[in-house]
Amino acid sequence: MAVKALLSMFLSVGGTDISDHVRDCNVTADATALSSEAMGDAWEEVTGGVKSGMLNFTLLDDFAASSIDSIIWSAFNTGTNVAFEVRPDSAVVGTSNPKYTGSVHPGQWRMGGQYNTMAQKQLSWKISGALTRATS
Amino acid sequence: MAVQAVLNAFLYCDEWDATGDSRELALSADSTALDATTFRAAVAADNGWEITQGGAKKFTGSFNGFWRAATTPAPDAELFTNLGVTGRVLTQGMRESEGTVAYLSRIAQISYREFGAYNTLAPFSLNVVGSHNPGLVRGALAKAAGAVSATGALGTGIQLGAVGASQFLYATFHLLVAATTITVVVESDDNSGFTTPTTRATIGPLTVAGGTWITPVAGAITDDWWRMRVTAITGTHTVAGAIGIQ
Repeated sequence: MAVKALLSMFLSVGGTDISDHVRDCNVTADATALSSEAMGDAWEEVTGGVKSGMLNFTLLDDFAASSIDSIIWSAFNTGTNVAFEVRPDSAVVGTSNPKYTGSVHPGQWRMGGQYNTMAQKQLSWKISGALTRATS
Repeated sequence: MAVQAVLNAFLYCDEWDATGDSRELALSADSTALDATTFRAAVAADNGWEITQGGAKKFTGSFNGFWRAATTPAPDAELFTNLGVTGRVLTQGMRESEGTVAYLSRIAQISYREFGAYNTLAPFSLNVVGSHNPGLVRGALAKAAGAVSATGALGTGIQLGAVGASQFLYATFHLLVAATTITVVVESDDNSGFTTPTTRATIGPLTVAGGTWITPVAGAITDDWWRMRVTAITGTHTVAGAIGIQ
């Protein structure tokens, strides 16, 4: 197996490929650890509960028509969940380049920055429903 | 598409052109992620995963820069005097250029911090929250801060698009330095030359510096070009304004 340098990640939001503005991107998936020990157990036990996830990403901001600010604001302002896809590489999906897909609640919009820095948006959107991994 | 460095963002708050006092701005809009998970999801594959639905939205912002006190609009007088005041008109964006994206809002200043360490330029910072619905409107800068002394088109005409039946037209106007009197209208047309304009809102006559949030104009309006125009003026004023449809 080979480790992977993240130089060409793929991220699409609402069907739009925004990879060329992505500075960093990660997906988290968590399962609730329900405490399930009972009398007679000397060690804590857990049972997996509901799963949830987050799509965290930082974008170089862009105010051109139909670009980053327009896309993010539109999703936020509309308020309905949007589809996303993340791949470690923009190359075709495969066993070494799985795609993670799902739906996210676009619950954050950001704008700003300090003088003489790049304008960026750092966003954390909550995944709604299943996070799916596929290799084809 | 072009990414951009933060070099000439702008920030107008009522009669205060904060652009020349500020060095950093951060605007945030959030909607509540309501947990809508049930024993059975609408889509079977989602069973066992949390389902999220958007709730109420809120707008918050923070700004900082160099502290200054003066009788003319300056951070100290503006921010201390208006602490807790709601409905202040705020127009901001990341590039002070007419036609570029501007966000329009009405805010309450909820905190003001001033001064700092030895041998530094005295700083200020403030936090604001949206005070009215809608919290934030995405539009465009129609008139960058500048002087005006004659009637006629003000700033740049913008092709913002038509106003849908469920949408409204919004506009902010900042009289940054007032002379005697000024009246401005927001007008639309179906062409960039504004050969047959229709007045959609009137601002003024204004005689003192301050911010104006027009009464939102309901759609549908099929015109897609928008601008501001001075219809009456006495003296030389410094003004700025933005228009949005949402």
